[in-house]
Amino acid sequence: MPPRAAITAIHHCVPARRLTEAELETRFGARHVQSIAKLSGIRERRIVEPGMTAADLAFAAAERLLTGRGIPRESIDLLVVTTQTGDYQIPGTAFVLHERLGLSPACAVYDLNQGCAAYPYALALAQGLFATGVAQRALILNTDALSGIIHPQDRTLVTLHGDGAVATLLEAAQGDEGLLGFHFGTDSSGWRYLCIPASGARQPRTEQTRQQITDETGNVRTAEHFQMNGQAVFHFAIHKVPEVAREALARFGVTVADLDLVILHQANRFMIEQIYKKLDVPPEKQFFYLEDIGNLSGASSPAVLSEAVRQGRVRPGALILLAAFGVGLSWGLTLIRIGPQGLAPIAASIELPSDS
Amino acid sequence: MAMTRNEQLLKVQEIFRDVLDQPGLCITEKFSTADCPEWDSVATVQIVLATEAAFEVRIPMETVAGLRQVSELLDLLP
Repeated sequence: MPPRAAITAIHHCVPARRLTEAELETRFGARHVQSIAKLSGIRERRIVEPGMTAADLAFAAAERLLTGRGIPRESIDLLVVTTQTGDYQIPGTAFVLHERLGLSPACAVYDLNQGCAAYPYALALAQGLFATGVAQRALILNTDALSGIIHPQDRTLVTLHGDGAVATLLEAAQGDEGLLGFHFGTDSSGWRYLCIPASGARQPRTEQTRQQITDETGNVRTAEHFQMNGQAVFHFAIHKVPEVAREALARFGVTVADLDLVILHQANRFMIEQIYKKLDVPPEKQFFYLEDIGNLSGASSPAVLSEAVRQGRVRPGALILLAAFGVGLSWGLTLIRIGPQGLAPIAASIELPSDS
Repeated sequence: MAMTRNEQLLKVQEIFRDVLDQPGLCITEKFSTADCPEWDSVATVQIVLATEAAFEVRIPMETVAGLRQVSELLDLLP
């Protein structure tokens, strides 16, 4: 049996700056903000101050994890960074973080632009490199700071999203723990529904793409800002995720009764509740982590796992189904067995102060 | 027996009244997002889900993406 990767440590990091309900009501009006909050369940978000980037959040999360666990930098032989909000178009943020973290020249580096489903995709990539003998100790960094690409007057996106990063340490499984299976898919007919139109070669940025557009519901944006057709994406997730979760469970040969926890990408509370309901996931196997931080995009699903660890909700030997979905439109699910020694929380703050 | 279009409209009207929290609301086929500020993307999702449940249909994602008027919903009902 080829070597398998197992999650042996996880830690997340969010900016200290809070974007509160009161602040948004001043900007957008109470009625609109309350209407969205009622559905989303999000009351506060953490966003980066000018000058702080997604890479800074990832660096802090990684530093705290490596220091907290006493992991020698030279022992990391694989770094995978997933982000849609990198420091540069070229090179990938993984290279920047490889240098900042002082990792070894022998460490392989991957940079993935995978959106909200990034975590299971990154884990699967790492698992493949464990299986081929390339990697024995991997660092996975999922980080996004969408606040920088959302127009400040786009009330739908501003109210839903926060910034954050998660560092996950993978090491070779010793027993029956580890990443036990993956299930992926794509409905590319919906790629336009989560998109920045003027962000690459297809539509170069011009004076025209900087023009502000106000849609019929009052959201303001330009072609250079992140855009979401919320009703299409919401509809996709509510129908598709339960369907593919059932496929995944059948593929893995387990049922909801076998699971200790079902972790979902935290797009909004109503959506998560609908998916849990369709899958008959009982309350003790549910976990929500968005009310105080918002939707962290590609960092969302690992942040849920990290917070569940911090809250003592992940017991030694726990079996966890994790499902993430979004940009593409894509989905990824993985079945995770925690080791018999459990996952101890990293004894470090999850906040990154603005002057860091 | 299949419902008439007018019967469907009345059933959809109940959904709109419930989602938009406007018990006295009367809609026509031409009722659109432009007629009602409360009919935003959040309301659209709730209207679509309630309509799918009431009529046991699945509304295609591309229709949901562009849904702005009641007639677009009625056109998809059995």
